[in-house]
Amino acid sequence: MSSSDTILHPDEKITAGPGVAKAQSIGLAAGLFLLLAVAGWGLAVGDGMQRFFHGYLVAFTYFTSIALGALFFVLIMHLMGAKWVVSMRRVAEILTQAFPLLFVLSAVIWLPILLGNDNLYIWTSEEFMKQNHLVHAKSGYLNPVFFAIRQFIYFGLWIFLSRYFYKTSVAQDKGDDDDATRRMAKWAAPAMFGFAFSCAFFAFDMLMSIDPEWFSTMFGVVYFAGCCISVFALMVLIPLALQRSGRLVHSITVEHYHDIGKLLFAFVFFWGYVAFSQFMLIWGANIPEETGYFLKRWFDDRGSGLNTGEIGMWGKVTLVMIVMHFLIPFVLLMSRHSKRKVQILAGFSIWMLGWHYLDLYWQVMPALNNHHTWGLAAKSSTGSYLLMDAAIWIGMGLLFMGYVAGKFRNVNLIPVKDPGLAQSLRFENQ
Amino acid sequence: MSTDKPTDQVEDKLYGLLAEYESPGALIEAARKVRDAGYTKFDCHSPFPVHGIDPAMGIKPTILPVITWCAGLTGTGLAILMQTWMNNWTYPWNIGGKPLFSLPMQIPIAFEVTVLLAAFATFFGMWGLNKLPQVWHPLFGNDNFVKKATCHGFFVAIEAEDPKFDEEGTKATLEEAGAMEVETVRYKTSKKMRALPNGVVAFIVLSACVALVPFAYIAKKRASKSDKPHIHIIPNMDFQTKNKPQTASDMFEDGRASRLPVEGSVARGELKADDHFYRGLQGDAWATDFPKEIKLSAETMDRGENRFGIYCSPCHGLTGAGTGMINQRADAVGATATGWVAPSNIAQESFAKQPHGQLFNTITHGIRSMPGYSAQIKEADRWAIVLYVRALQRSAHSTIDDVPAGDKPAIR
Repeated sequence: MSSSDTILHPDEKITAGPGVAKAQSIGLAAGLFLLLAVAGWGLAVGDGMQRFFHGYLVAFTYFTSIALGALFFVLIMHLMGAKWVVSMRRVAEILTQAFPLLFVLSAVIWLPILLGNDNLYIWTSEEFMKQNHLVHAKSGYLNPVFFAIRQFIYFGLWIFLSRYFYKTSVAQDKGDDDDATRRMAKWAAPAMFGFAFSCAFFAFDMLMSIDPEWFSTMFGVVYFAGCCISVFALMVLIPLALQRSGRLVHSITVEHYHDIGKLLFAFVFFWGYVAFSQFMLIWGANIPEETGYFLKRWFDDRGSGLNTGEIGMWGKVTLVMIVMHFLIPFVLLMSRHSKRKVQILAGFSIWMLGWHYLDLYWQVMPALNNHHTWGLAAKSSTGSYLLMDAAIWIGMGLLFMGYVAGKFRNVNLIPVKDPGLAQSLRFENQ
Repeated sequence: MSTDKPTDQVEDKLYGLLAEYESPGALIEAARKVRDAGYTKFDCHSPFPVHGIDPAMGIKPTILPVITWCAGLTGTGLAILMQTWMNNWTYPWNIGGKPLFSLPMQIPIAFEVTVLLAAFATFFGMWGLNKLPQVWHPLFGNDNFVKKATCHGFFVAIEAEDPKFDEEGTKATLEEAGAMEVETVRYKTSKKMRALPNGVVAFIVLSACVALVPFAYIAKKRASKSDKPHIHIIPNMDFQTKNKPQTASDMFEDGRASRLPVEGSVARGELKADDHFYRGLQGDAWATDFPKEIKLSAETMDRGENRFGIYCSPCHGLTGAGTGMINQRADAVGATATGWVAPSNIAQESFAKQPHGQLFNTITHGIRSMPGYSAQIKEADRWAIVLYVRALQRSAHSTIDDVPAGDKPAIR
């Protein structure tokens, strides 16, 4: 608990309550059960496993984007020496502790690939790589063994970075080590390089290689934009939930939410900006090996709409995304009032978390090349595949929530000895 | 200089009271007290922006964001109008087969103009709202203010024009609020002093004249003729070392600048590998079935009737008997004598026996003097026409037994 010389409000509660233990056990058990049940369902129906892996990839990249966003949040705040954020920073530091769980979850993707399963990535098929001239030169990079090695590198780096910044920060709570802040700021700079490259290449490997003929240098940035959107949304929702349960009531104020809201707003626009830039360059250049990606996401299945010019199901999803993921939050979050009204901001945070899922869904699902499982209307013999996708997302979400909730135990929810804390507590927007 | 002329009266005026405070904190405190005392015409001066001074002075949130927003929207609209005007009307030059109005390519310009206008509106709006540039202010005559206000002094100035102003009472208010010193500020003013200095006027006139020179030069050049060659401002853009389509080039063996597509290359969506659907063949023989893409439904039949009406009936007639308007006209002008071949009656027995694929092929490639319709009618529509032709053939050879029992009385 807080020591006598703390600058926090005397009534402030800075450790999590018994609720997190409950969330931990329920989340872990229910999440694991749900995931296993869905995997069983996938195994039981004919083409079910293929759809299962695609749904799994969406959910996995979704929750990894949250942890990556949190890592970015911690790094950038150290790098910039931001003082206002200090009272919220521990929440992000705890979120980054999810990487070991995500590494375990990633095995479901790379292990079957090593064992020769080509349900997810067509480049794992040697036949395809031999026949398709466009990807010959990529076979040195896109092969199961190197793919798995890269996952070890990415997660190794992320676990290392997240542990360093978390442990240093937590150790600072116990003593008067003002130098720790300076050290973290120093190491945040090289760490940011590592983060930028690993995040972009992770997106190339996991998401872009699902269409191995297609490539876009912008792709990593679009994924990064999604990481930021999801973490800024959670940096509204988690502190709000803590405050609802009586924690950090005095240390986090509307001023902090306002600034997080500004960042959320900025990255909503950033997402639109980079996603459109990627589209516009490809649309303008009109080169067949690049346009294929968007044709698949605009016309109906496998190009039959190309002849009639009729917009297909994924095209409608694209239009919905432009309005819901970009236009509506952009216009409505612009005002200072909607960012300072915490209920509105929380509403938009939930909104963005939902549409971020659809963003990834839209990137992965149209690549399915099996018409039994392709599309929103596809049904297995036992029910709609949409249900399977949703169950994987919810199951992994519960698992993620349970694991992260465990990390909230036995740790201060605020860096009590950070030299910037005083400034953070009296921070005001102008 | 003559002193008889009615001279410009120099007035000695009271500006107000200037109070100095020790620190930013004291300034905020004082501003709050002055505000609470009901003053409205007063200002605070500090060497740097002081957080929290706006609410302490009772300044309402600025209208600047609204100005920025409106200017930004104006920029978006103007940019789209400008590009549409240029791309669709004044310079409709088709590049790469894109539609003349292409929103994706307009977005970057629209974005830039939005940002430009929003930034200008914010910048100049801020100047306007703050009444800048202000080259002279009554407080500039006060030594203490001039020395300290930009380095370490914190001042509150209440103007004499404030309705609540009263020299003694206001002074007391300022002192109560913790002022270190309160001074009365007077200033001298006259018409001449308020006017812009002659040098500034001269500078503005001169720079306006200089700015007109390029426009005058351009206008002159546009109106006059010259024997000299065109001036190329960016020559390497006007004369690019590149191969243009349809020209000769030494670079390639065949001497052509344009490259032919690699043999066997197929445009996306143009593979047309399905013999049945695209060519009406099943193996080597004419298809006797409709391809699986074609639904044998009332909808397809309606589509076939519609297309038949547009493309076929002018010659073959609405019943397919070969009595279309063009044939009637040809008969009327006696064209048969000069080689007009009358269109076939497509309901005749020999056509009714032809496989579906052969009819499809006839529509695609034409036969005898009938031209092919592959350019005008898409495959699916050609199949729909075949379906409709089948219906026409059936109806031409129908008997009374084919009429539904309920409709029979109407026919008799």
